[in-house]
Amino acid sequence: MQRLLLLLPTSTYRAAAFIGAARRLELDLVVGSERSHPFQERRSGGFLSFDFLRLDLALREVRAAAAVRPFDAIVGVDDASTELATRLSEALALPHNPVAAAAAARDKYKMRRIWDEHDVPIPRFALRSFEDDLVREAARTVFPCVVKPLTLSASRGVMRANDERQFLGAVRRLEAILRSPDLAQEGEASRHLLVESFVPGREVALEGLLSQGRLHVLALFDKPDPLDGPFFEETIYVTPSRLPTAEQSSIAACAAHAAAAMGLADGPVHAELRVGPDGPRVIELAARSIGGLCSRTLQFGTGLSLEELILRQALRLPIPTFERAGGATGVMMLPVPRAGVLREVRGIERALDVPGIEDVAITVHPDQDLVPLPEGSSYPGFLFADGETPRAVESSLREAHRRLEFRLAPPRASVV
Amino acid sequence: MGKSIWISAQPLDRKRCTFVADRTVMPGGLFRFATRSEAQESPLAAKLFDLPRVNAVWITDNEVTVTKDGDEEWEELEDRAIELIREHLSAKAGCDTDTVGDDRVFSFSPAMEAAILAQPPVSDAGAVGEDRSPLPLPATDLRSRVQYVLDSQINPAIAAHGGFAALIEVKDDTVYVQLGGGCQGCGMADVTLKQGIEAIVKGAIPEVREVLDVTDHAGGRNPYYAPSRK
Repeated sequence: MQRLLLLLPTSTYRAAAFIGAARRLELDLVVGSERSHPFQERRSGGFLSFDFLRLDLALREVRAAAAVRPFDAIVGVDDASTELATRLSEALALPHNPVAAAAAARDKYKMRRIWDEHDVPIPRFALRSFEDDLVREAARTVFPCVVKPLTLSASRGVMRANDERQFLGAVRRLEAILRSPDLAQEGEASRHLLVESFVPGREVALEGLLSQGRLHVLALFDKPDPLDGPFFEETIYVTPSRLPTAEQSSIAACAAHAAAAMGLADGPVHAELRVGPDGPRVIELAARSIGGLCSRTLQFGTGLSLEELILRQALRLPIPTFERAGGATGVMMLPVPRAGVLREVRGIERALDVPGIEDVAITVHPDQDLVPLPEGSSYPGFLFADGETPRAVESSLREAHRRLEFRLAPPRASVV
Repeated sequence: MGKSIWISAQPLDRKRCTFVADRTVMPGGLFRFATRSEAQESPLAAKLFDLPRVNAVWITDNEVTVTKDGDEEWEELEDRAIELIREHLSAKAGCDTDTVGDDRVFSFSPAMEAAILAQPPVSDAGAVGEDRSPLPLPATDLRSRVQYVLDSQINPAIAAHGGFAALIEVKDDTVYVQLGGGCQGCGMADVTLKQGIEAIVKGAIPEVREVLDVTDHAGGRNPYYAPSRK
């Protein structure tokens, strides 16, 4: 039985999917988290806890556990835990991506520098500090632009600015977001921002798995809702893509080029690209799988989950196929309707009645503060649909969403 | 020197301690006293509830498990609980009691020693591997044993996060539980279920193959960990 250390931050959406995959693979699983679990004392062999920002402390704990029985792989599930897993793997001589590649995959500026050096097609970009003379910076910025934090994901803190006034407002707003208590650990990254030219066009997401440097495209998702700002809340993902085959090939080649430039050779890749008249432009690439609960849309071969593929790859187990099973499928990350305190969600049964809807997962709870982007950090929930065609899937998702009603009380005074 | 009754204290953690006696404390299966009013059914449970911070008592055969609030060491409560159990057993047996040293070992009168030796040995069923249960499981039906593990080992632990696990059904070798409180809707609920609850239940009761969660997690009002995108 192979032994896996799975790094699961307590804030992850991904626990169930990875725990399920580890179970199906009959692994000896150890869950590493940044906080102690109530059963850790009782089942010391099943849990580890350490500060994810302190490699030295993490390494001490992991080495002690590995001395009892060695790990065969260490896998993270999000940006931060993936970087830590890479560093721990290096220390324990386990298979891993280059540490520099994993670090670059967490830093939007570092990865763009690398891509620029390797002629990966990307938007124009610049690094700015919150301590800069931002009025002067605004005057020399080409508009429209997009202001981004260096490390956050899922469009948090990402804003479009069409002129100098909007630019200054976006920068100040981003600075405030990065000073929020839940982001206190961002450290140096919270002092800087990325300014990038806005690329008009459609946006797509590519889910892939790297194996010995080769990118296997697992799914290419269309994002049918326009993402033109001022914020970039992601909603519907549908696969297979409706883009022409040649364009899809070009997107895959672009993502593979970006991953290779960074030095990533193994493991999951989630890439976001803009597709305009000049071809695809890479705007993000993370060395992890798709976020939230979105991976539920994907099955491979005879029913393997995305997480099973990832763990098999990490453990060097055979991967029977990279081919996605089933027809068209999609997910809708439910948008936050407005700021407020959630009272209840109505219409779930009616949403489930929509033909093609497979599931409705509400992931916020009554009395929870709902905060829209760019500040917000929680998805209210997810809709999942299957269908004959991508168009049918999209229609199902839109109709189910129309039937949901989020009843909110006014926001609390302390919430942005 | 008419001495008798042997009782040992086995703290499981700062919230749970099991007291094992050399004889039956309460025959007939597992008895749970989760509230002070329930404890009125048993003189011993009622007295244990009078101890500071005690919030539940389980009695089965020759052992008494006491859980309490707070993270104080057991040292003080341990002595007082032993004393209460000893008094209870003494009253039943009509024997003298006395402590010997710090290990709370009692010696027997010749008549009592003969009676004790006639009793069957205490079972240590449920002691398996890493997840060895420190508690002898009551020799009752599967559902009662699962309930016992939930009560004595699972719920006292997840209570630290305001959570609990309720036994819904045991069907063949599958246990169905519903998570509540801080576990309902918690982003780490699957970790708790599979790495914790299932592993501990299977360790204690090898015939259990799987523990499944039937919780409506969307209904959770106060999950301990809420997922977020960063």
